[in-house]
Amino acid sequence: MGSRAKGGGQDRYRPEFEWDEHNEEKLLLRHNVSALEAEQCFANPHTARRHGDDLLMLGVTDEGRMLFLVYEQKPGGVVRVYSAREMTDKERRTYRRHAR
Amino acid sequence: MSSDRRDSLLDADWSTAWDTLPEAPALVPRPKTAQITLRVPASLLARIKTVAAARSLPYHALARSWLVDGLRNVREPEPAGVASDEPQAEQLNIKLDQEVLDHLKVRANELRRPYHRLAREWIETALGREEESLGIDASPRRPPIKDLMVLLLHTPGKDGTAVRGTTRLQKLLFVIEQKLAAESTSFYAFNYGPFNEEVNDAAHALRLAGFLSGAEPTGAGPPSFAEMMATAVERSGPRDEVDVEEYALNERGHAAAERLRQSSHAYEQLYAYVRSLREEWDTPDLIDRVYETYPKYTERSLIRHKVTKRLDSRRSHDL
Repeated sequence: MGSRAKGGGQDRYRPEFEWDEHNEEKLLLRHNVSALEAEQCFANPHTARRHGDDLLMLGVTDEGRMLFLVYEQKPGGVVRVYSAREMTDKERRTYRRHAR
Repeated sequence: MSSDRRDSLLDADWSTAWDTLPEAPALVPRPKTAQITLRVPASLLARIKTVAAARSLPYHALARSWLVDGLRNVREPEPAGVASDEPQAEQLNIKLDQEVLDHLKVRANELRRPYHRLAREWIETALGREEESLGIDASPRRPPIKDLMVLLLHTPGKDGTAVRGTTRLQKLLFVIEQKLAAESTSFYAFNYGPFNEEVNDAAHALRLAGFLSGAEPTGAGPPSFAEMMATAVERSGPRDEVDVEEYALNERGHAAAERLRQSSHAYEQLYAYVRSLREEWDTPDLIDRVYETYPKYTERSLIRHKVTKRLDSRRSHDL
């Protein structure tokens, strides 16, 4: 991923997302993370890893919330976010080392 | 992979493992246009199509224009009414520019609400205004009995969530339906007061779907006289003298009920309303209260004289 300005949100860096009301609401109710905030993590500096079939991301929202996300990248590159929470302190340090 | 499995990934701290994991694949840039897929009740889609036909416009384009109007007018949509609720069995696909979709997500983020719900409620609010201006009647429709039953059996009663007896189940659903949409009730006067075969059909369907605990009762249909009497005298007699069917959701049923409850703002409201009605009506004297409040539905009842006698006795005692 190339570097980009925080909150830049240029289309060339933003994937297509797949949401439905159920997973949107789950993120909001359980973790107080909105679809927009999850998407902002992809547009802002982040670091992402594969863990088995799952993809994991440490990213930051436009407002500076530091989030850990579990997502999937479907054929064609469509991203579906399944879960999110605030980063732990250790993950914040990992984020600062790896994010670009 | 299940949702629970993915959720469990949140429990770990990934800082140590991060360096050992392979890089995730690169992101693919999004296309210029987007689409939002809204789950909507069949009746809502039908209403949109009716208004679109009256305006001689394609209904997708009309729904998109209402959504864009909702974004321009910075106001919250009116929450969907309880009485107009039903399962979101249809899809409404609306093509949008990415900028419009981004704007919708920003607004939903400010309101801390799912953007799909915000879009649907904006459309529903605009639809109501259009119907009014066109003079189209869109009377509220009652939710399906099966949904009401699932929500009822998910609410806490005095002795747990189960409902004891077909008669009690029939009467509770009758009261709920009367409160929601009395003008379109599907109950009618029968041998033991208000009755609706849809209740038994819905219970059978839920059992087949694996949502109810216990086995299918023998002789599905209207309650037996013995069961009716058992329910009718429950307030004064011992509960276990007559074998009465118990209706209870199992774990799977409660999970389905919870999904239904959380499926929309309107269903959350509906659940809260059903719960309050159960608290008010699921009492030992339910039968007496139904006979007293809805006499029209007891005209054919085989036990009407017994209940009437008991009610008269209570009234004279109160005097």
